[in-house]
Amino acid sequence: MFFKKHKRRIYGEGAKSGKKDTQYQRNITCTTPLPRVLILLSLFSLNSLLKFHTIKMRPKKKYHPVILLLKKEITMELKQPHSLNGIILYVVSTVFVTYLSFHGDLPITTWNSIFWIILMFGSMNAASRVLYQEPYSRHGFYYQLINPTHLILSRLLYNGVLMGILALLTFGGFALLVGNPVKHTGFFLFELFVGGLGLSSVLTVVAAIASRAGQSFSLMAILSFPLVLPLMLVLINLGEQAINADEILNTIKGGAVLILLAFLPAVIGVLLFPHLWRD
Amino acid sequence: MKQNWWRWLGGLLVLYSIIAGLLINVPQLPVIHESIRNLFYHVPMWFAMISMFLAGLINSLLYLKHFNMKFDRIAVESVNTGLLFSFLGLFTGMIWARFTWGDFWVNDPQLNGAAITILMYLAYLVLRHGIEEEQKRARISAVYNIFAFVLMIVFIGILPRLSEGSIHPGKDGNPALGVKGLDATMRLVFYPALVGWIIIAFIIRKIRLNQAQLKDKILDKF
Repeated sequence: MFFKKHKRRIYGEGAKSGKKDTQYQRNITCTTPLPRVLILLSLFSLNSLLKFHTIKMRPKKKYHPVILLLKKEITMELKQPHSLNGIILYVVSTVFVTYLSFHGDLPITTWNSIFWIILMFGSMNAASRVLYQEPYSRHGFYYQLINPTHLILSRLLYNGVLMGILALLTFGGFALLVGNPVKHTGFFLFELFVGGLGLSSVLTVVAAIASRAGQSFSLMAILSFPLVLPLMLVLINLGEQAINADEILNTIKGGAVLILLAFLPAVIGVLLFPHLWRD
Repeated sequence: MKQNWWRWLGGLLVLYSIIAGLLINVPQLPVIHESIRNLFYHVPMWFAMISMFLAGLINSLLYLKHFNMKFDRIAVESVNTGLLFSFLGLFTGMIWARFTWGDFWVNDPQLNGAAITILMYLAYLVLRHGIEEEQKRARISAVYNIFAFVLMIVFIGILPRLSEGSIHPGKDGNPALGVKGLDATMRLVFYPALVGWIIIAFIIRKIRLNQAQLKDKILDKF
């Protein structure tokens, strides 16, 4: 039971007579934490009672780790917006250079091609920038605390949103300065977002690989260029169709291809990232 | 000789495919005429490349599972040999394109996919040069190898079939092993050529591996 009774035999006359004559010395030592538990329980209940008096009781919400990591990235970004400022600067300068070099008069295929080329290099910029912000010393800290799958998922989502914003800003800048020849705007926006997700999925994984292999931007560019090319080809093709085509029914296959190209590298990256993470 | 019989077989098969490929009767097709014989040399190159990259993938997966440097060495040499065969395949394809389509390179999804594959694996070699430490290099290049292989399958297998307007043959079904499309006489030379060139690829890889092993022994590594 909970209490151990120390028996100490006190031999009396009964020993001669054979009767059991031990008087138990009630030397109770507590071997279980029961009194401690009781004390803690009482304190806890007092605490909660007091809380109940002062603050309204509500259940504590548990966020998924990916959402927590996203929140952390967004908060860091809002405090010191390195990435976002860099992206805005890049978009503004490239769109302006395009405007100046073409004197505001772009043929349609050129509009499409230059738009996607700007997005390609801007995404490479954005992906590498997000990764090089964290000092290398903090990697060990992250390694102990965070599940790598959650980390890569949060990075993929964050980069995807970032590149979607980049795409929107570029589109806005182009529409303002150089004209907006897009007929099927809804499809084009869908293409922008899924294309942003796709670019982020390839570039985040490559950035993770390149950051482990030494901090050089050229390595990241060399690695990512061939991987991004087919996605760019599909995006340019679909962009042309969004601009020119009379109907978008035959671009549903293209949209499916785009989704495949966007999510396949993400899936492989999520599967492979834990191997990169061990160091 | 007992262990190496399959290497001699590979050499014999390639020799047979070269001689018989240039001698047999081929069907007379409108644009291609006699250059259809290139089928025996162009397609096996790509199959040898894919077999090499597949071997590289398997070894990269094995490395990530067991962390034995032997697998990393085999993976690198597989990629090197695969790259060699991809350049050869590209070269034979360019010669063929010059005679049938009029130009060495056309804007075709299959061709673009092949070029991107070559770029991807060249980037793999660049990545390996960028890392000094051996274990880290092996691990990171194994991860990139797996990534690159899956994307290669997408770029040369899936994307060309999904896009319309591809003049590279072999879009319905398998580009080369289609039993319907290939003439019976040509099949006699084609399948041995396939097997022969894949064996040659493994032979070249084995030579490179022996070379690498000797170099490591001299430098007293493993």
